[in-house]
Amino acid sequence: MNRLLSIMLLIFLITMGIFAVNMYTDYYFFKEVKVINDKEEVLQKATHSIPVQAVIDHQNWGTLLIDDEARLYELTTFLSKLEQQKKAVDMLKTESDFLVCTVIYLNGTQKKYFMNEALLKDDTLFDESYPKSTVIAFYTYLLSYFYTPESIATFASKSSEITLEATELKKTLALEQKQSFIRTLQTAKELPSHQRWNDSEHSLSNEAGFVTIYQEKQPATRNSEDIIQITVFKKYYVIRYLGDPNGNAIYFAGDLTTFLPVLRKES
Amino acid sequence: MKKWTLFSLFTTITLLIVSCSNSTIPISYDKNGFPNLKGHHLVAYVATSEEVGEALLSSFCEQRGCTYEFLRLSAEEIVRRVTEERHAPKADVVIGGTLDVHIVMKSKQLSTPISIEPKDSLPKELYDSENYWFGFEIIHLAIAVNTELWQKVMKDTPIPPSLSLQDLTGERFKGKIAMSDPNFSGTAFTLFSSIAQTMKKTDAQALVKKLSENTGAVTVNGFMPIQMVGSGEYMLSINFWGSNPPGLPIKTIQLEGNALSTISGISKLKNAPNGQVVDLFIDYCLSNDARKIIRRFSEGNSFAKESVRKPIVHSALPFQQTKELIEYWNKLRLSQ
Repeated sequence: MNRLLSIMLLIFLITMGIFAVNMYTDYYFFKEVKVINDKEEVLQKATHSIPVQAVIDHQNWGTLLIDDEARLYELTTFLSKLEQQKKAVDMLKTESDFLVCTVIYLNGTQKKYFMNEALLKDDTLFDESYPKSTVIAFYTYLLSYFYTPESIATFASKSSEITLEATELKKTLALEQKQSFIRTLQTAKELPSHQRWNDSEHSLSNEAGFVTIYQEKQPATRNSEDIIQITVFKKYYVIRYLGDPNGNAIYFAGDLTTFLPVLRKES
Repeated sequence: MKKWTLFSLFTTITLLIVSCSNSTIPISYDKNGFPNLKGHHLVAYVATSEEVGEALLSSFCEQRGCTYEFLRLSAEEIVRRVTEERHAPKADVVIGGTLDVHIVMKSKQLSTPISIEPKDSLPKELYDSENYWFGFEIIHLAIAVNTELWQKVMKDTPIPPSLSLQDLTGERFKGKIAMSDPNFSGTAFTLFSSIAQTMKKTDAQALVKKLSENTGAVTVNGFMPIQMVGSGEYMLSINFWGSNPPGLPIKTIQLEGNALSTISGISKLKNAPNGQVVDLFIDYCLSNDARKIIRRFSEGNSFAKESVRKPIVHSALPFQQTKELIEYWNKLRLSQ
């Protein structure tokens, strides 16, 4: 009986202790009541809360629709993080044709984010709270959506010149070969990272040649944003978009060697 | 009954400890002590050149049977990302980035000590005394030149084998240089550290002023300027040696001067999901096998050749001088 009493007393003391700590923390954290006037913001967020589609319009890559739930969730999560930085959002308000990301919500409302080239190449506006890296991260994130065989083929279809280079030889892709080249890009499969270097022939082999896709014909007015550079290997190729601030490389399984110029053997 | 209760309690605790540990598959070793990492995965954030990062990961995993994935980001973005993910890290290791990045990660408690054998052969400045980071590659600043544009603009003048920072401030290069922003990029931070450490304050400011006037584009990431040179948008860029994408009309030449090299580091992230594998990976990155690979992909930047140039020393005083010089640059850019 005594033992039972002592156990009960112990439980009671522990409960009281927890209660006291709880009271103290409540007092400590909540002693001051503040009213946050965010009615308008909450209402706005509620009406915007269900995104149904996103449209990314890039001057060089064309238009991309995102309507699958997983990607939309990923995009809106990224945007909600971005929205926490007012300066970043302000920077993305200046209208531009270079890149527009439109999020369409269930109630029909739209939210647009603009990116212009000056944000990529000019930092005269620097100050300590300047969220430029956040904006660049947003841009590179959006660009990653375009790194698919279909979008790369679309980029190539808008090209004005495609040059092919191998063993000191350089030529321009003939017009009659362009469709076949685009089809090869379109039907390629992206190589997952663990498959890229899994045989020594791939990992340390020399490249077979290079392909450069230009959207702007005149070299004097070419920008990095107009160019895709492809390093061609025997069974795969590596794509680099020169307008990607991160210098990302994307690997695809496919054979582009057939388009490269070859040295003719002398008889 | 009491025994059974104690036994059940002990078993439950053991199971909980095992299930909560980071690595679910134990690492086995063959008779030569070589680890078998089949079923293990490694996630890396890469701030060095993609070729170096991927070559290190692939050569490590190929021989040991593990899989890997990586994301190449700017140094500043890696620190931001790792800070955001500190309560639930997604990556295990940060490969590359100048040592100041790794020192910042240590000070913010984002990294953790690496459990590897002492590396007595390494000079003291190449590793942290508490094993939080190791240097694995020495990288040199260089100048990338667009060969076609040079020929067009400079006519008969051939591309020299090297240029100094003073050369870059000349009238003939006005508006033709692209470089990254020292506020964000490790590449430009290294350049500013070098200037701050090797010049008097007034000379350093005068050089930065002229360099700023000749710079046509300033980018957040260190990868971008060389791509702008490759596209023909700009004639010259300051970047790390060996970072040029292949197949573009670019010639990389030496940047003359002292302390134009820095150390690229490697850190294990705190609470890394695959912590045990990271220790083995970092040990491998410091091995002779890895050095051969680094030399192959980054054009001779391994430690073996590093008696020639003195890398930038990372200590409090030069760091403060560098920050002051960057502040001066910021003021100049704002007034332009």
